[in-house]
This record gives sequence, structure tokens and C-alpha cells, in this order.
Amino acid sequence: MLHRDNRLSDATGGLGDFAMRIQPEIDKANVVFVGDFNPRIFRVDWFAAQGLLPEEEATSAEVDIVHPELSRFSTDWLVVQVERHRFLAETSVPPKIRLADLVVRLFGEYLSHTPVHLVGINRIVHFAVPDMDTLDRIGERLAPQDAWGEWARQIKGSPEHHGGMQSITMQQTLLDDRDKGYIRAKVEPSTKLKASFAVNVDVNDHYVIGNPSDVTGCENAVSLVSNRFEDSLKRSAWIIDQVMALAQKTKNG
Amino acid sequence: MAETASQYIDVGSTRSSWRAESKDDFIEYALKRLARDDSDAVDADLYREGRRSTTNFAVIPIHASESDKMLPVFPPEERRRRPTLVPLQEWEGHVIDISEHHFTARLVDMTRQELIAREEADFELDEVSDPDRDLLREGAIFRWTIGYETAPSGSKKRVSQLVFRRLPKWTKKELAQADRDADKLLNGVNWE
Repeated sequence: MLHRDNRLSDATGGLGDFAMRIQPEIDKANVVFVGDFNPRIFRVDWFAAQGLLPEEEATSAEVDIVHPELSRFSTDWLVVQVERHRFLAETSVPPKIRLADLVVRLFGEYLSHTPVHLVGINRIVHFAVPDMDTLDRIGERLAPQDAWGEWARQIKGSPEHHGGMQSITMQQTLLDDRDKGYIRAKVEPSTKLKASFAVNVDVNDHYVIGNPSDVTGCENAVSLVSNRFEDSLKRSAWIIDQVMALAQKTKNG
Repeated sequence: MAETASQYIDVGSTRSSWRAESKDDFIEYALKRLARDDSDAVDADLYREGRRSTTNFAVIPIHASESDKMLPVFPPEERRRRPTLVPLQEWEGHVIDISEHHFTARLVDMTRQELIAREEADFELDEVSDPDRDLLREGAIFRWTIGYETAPSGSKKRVSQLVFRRLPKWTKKELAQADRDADKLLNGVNWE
């Protein structure tokens, strides 16, 4: 039998194998379904009535809008936003598995006839780096400025008019876990943190379920979220960690 | 009016900052754009792109006269600030015993990617949040996260959080598959 105080102290001593090497200040996960939705039904009180969310959570939720074209609410751990062709559920609060449980129950038990033809399992991370040099060198490694020829000398500019890599997206298309889809990772400087220098990495794990005209329900989308959600987030963490490694290597010279 | 978090718009190939004055402004803006017709060719292209993408935000044109501008659908983050929890370690537990003041669970260390329960721990019943009390029973599955919680004021404290999972029901298909798997396992046993 464990003594729980020991567990608490053990945990601060080291992170698990797949933990990112820099602790992100923002770490969100979301599930996006693309298909056909009726935004009006995605009300937080409906979620509570179905037992998808506890009554207490629904009572304290912030409802931004309920409209035929757009519905959005948030709770302590969840944001739900629905348009006619897009459903998004997002969390930044651990345990992230709650998000998958909610989406699987919502569409598996209550909205199973909703046609969904695309699924995205996404991870969005913002992490701080110590200085502008580190930020620049991450950008330089991902998008070497010399490739821009004579313009390269002028790109960086002055401290007041600083240039450099603003956005880069890398895509993996050859994947053995799906017939169609891709993984895209986008790296940009972040302005979301209080830290002066920070990096934003978004990983879009994108699955094509079928043609919009052929798909009649969401069984495959639900099954995908049920089976792949945590592995997808782990893989995303691993991808993000590759970018973090650039910061660490440069920091250590 | 209070300044709110900036959002981005893409203008052609360059990126510039845009600030909505309020959430209401944003929603009015978003609805106008959602209600637009797709007569403009660039608008229509962007609309189609929005239906192909599963990124975390939908990109939709602001309006036809500035049709190469795009805006994420998320509104400004003017909502009330909430504490953030940075996890240090996470376990999945299943409840094996419940007594008057505490319950016992077997734990799988998710952070270390373990697959089987190697540990047991006792938890005070008071640690279970009110909304999760109904879910506490033998066999219930929960996640135990420990980490640092940062309040909106910036103060930090170490926290331990139990969240009981609201798991989906088993489907007929999954039960049939479980039966098939069990049969396969049984048939593979060499009885001597």
C-alpha cells in the first residue's frame, strides 16, 4: 500500500517518459468534427439533462451564444463551440481523457446519426524560451534564412523591427493508422504568454472518415476518438518535444 | 471598454493583430460572416477550406469586400480567469473497496505509460468532488492528477485532483467483439 504523501514527493522528482522536456504554460487538447450539426441543440443545460455534464458544472457554465448558426459555452474544464459544419470541444485542464469520454458519449449515445466526415485530434502548446536568441535559433533551424538568398541579410532587421521565421508547417502524410489524413505541426512565435519570448506549436492529427456525401453517421468518428485520443496526444507531445529540443540544444550551446 | 486578448487575422500573406472590443462585438461579427452569401469567389474558397480543415479554429472570411482576410472563430478571451493546473503525474485508478471514510484503488501510472496496475492507494472520501460522488462505486474508473495549480493572481500551490470518468456505455458491437476475444483466449488455453 502506498503512502500518499510519498507519492506526491516522488512525482516532483521526475516526469514520465513521454513528458515534454519544457513544461508548457498553455497545453490544450481539442477534438474537431467536420460534418453537419445543428448548433441550437448544443446547450449546456441539454448536456446536463443527458448526464453528459454534472448539474453543478452546467449551472456555473458561461454561455456565450446559442444561435442557429453558432453555439458556444464553457465550464471550468471545457469549451464547446458548434457551427453548422464544425463541432469543437476543447480542454486545457487535466485529465484530458475527460474530453474524449464526453465526445464519445455525446456522439455515440445521443447524436449517433450525425454525419461526420473529418476528425481532428489537436494539441496546442505554448512554452517560454529564455531569450530572443533562442527564439531566433529555433526559427533559423526550422527555416534557415540563407535559403532566402540575398534577402537573408535583411530579414532579421534591428531589435525594434525584428524579423525572422513567423510560421512554418510540416506535414506527415504516410501513416499506417489511417487510409487518408495527415499530421500537421505548425510552429510560430507565441504572444499568448507573459514571458517575453515564447513558442506556439499546434499539432493537427487529421483523419478522413469518408466523402461528405457518403457518410451517414458518426460511428467511425466516435470509434476513432475512443481508440486513438490518448495515443494521438502522446504522439503530439513527442512532436512538440522535438521543437523543444531545439530550444534546449541552443540554450546549452 | 476593457482591452481584451488579441486575435489574429491573416491579411493576404502577412499577419497582423486584431482586437475585438468585446465578446458581443465578436459574436455579432462572427454571425454576420456566417450568414454571408458565397457569391464572392475567394469567400467561397475560404468557406470550402473551412469545411476541409480540422484545425483548432475555423477560418472564415470577414466579409466579401475584404475577402482575403480571415479570422479565427474563437472570441476574445474576456471570460473570467480560472486557475490553471500543470500536471506532474497522472494515474488511472479503479476502485476496489469503499469504507466509511475512504476508498481503496489500484493504480496504473499513465505518466510512465504503464499498462497494468502495480500500486494501490487509499483516498479520503472527502477528496471526491460533489458532482462525482454518485460515480463512486466498486469498479469505478478515475484519474488522479497531481500538479501545481496557479491562481489568476499568480500564486501557486501543489494540488491532488480526483476526476471520475463518465464512461460511454458498451455498444453491442464492442460486447460482441469482447465475446469473440474471450472465445479466442479460451480456445487458446491448453487444458492439461
